[in-house]
Amino acid sequence: MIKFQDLSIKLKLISIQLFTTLFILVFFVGIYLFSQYHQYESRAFSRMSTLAEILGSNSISALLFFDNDAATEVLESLETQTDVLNAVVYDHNGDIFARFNRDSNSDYSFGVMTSEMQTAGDDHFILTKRILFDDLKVGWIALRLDASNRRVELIEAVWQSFLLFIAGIILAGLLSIRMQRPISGSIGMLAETARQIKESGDYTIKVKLSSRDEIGMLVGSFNDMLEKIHNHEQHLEQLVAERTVELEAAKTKAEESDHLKSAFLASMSHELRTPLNSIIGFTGILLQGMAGPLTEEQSKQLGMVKGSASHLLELINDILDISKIESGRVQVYDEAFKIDLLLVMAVSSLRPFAEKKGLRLRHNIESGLPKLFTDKRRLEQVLINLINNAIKFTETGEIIVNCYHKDDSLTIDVIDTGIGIGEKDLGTIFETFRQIDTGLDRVKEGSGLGLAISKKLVELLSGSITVVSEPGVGSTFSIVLPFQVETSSDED
Amino acid sequence: MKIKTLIIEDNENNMYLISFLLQNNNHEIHQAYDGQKGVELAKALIPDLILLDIQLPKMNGYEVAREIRKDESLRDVPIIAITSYAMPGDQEKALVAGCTGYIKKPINPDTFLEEIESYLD
Repeated sequence: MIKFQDLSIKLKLISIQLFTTLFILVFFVGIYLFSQYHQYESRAFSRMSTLAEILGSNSISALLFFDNDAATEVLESLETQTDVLNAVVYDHNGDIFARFNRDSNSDYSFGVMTSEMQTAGDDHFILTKRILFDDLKVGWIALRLDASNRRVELIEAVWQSFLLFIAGIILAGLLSIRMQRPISGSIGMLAETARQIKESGDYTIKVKLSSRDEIGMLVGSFNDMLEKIHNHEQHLEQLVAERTVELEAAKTKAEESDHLKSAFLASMSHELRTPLNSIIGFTGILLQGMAGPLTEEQSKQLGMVKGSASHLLELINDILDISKIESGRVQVYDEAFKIDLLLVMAVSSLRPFAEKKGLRLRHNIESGLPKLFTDKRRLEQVLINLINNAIKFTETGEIIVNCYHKDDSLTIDVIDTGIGIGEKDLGTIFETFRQIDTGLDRVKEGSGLGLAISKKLVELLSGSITVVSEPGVGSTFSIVLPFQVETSSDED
Repeated sequence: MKIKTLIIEDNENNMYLISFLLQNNNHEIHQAYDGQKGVELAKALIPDLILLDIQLPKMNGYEVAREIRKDESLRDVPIIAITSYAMPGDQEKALVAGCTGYIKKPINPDTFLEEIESYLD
């Protein structure tokens, strides 16, 4: 069942007009039929009354002279009035004086004459009237009229009304179809244009103004809005075009400077390492005594030169590393390997440095860990950095490296009993060059880039690094790495 | 029998350092200060070992390695790249160009000789 509000405006307008017409027609046809029915009766009685009047006055002389035949003759004039069934003339005593019956055997008894009256029956009307001569009652006349016609006429009227009704509806329908056009047409056009604009995105399309009524106003506002949108869009396009040009220029410039930066990095790397190469190399040769024996003081000072040179190299490496990471130039070479082996190697290589400070360095690795699939060298770099830091910032106690799995990821904790990190520094400890601001003892030499590099590398390996620390108690650095699905097929 | 070693390196200090370390360890040293000279010497000497710096004048280390590998008689000579490049892929590039292995600069006198040994049969 379709609801009225879902109909198109066109159908709504047509149906409104049709229903209005229908209602009015039903109303008036009803009144017409009703009055038809009643008029029939009053017409019949008025005719009967006239007939009674004429017949009565024509019968006066017959009544006065007791001439029954003359009265019967008068009544026989009714022969021409085909619907008169019976007619009777009574004398002043109420006795039958003369009678007329349309069918000879259909006598009708009007009963006793007492007063003038008119009665409407189902199929006949009866009228009785006094016959007056100079205001003196000389007799009665009674008429009976066939009313069976009344129903036929009513049916005929209903039928005619029905035809008129149909004609009215058809006419109303045609008219309403014609007349709704200006309204539904403009609304339809508006809707169609709106749809076109929606689909094409072309805001230059305009709706033709067709009238000055509310729809016309709507169309006007619609066109105004379209123009505004069009202008706005053009403005936006222009802005986008301008910005695109600017961005392209900026991008070219950025790429250029990026290229220059990487070229600069490559050349700096070479230029800085070349002299260091000699310094470290020759210091090493001298220290080993390959170029002749050294005094104790000379050895000590050369050792300082070597230490400083190594530190300088470390700084250069860190700066190059962070530059490479920040410019996205670090490539990750994933491979499958056993984490316990890597950890044991890293811990063993750093144990001498821990022991030199009187610290215990141990590891605690969960057995049966699955193979890790990630960049082994980068992970090793991070681990060595974390363990190195732990050794650097711990004076007494121990450093533990824990390795275990949790859900789908691997956690490596580096726990120390060192100086710890204050709460206000915890948030910034992984930021570039942060060590300088912490006011930590500058004796703990480093570039301050180690943790920033570590964080960036771990993130590059799709992992995360966090720290928990309490000043004076120690710090725990945790690396969480996902056990990525191994895509290579190598097995050992 | 001394090991005939060709060093192709443009930096005089490094050349001296490497030469010094190897001379005292049974190497017969031949020196080339640019890539072109290095290729010429390699062809002339057919050395037992070539130490090759990557950043060189006239012809860079990768080109030198490729050029040397073209020579039938130099096909099996170990070439060890001395890379100071810190950019990713440098070492891989060296291997692709035909080097046997690489040693990272700066050279550590404590381990340098061992590393060299490992590339000689």
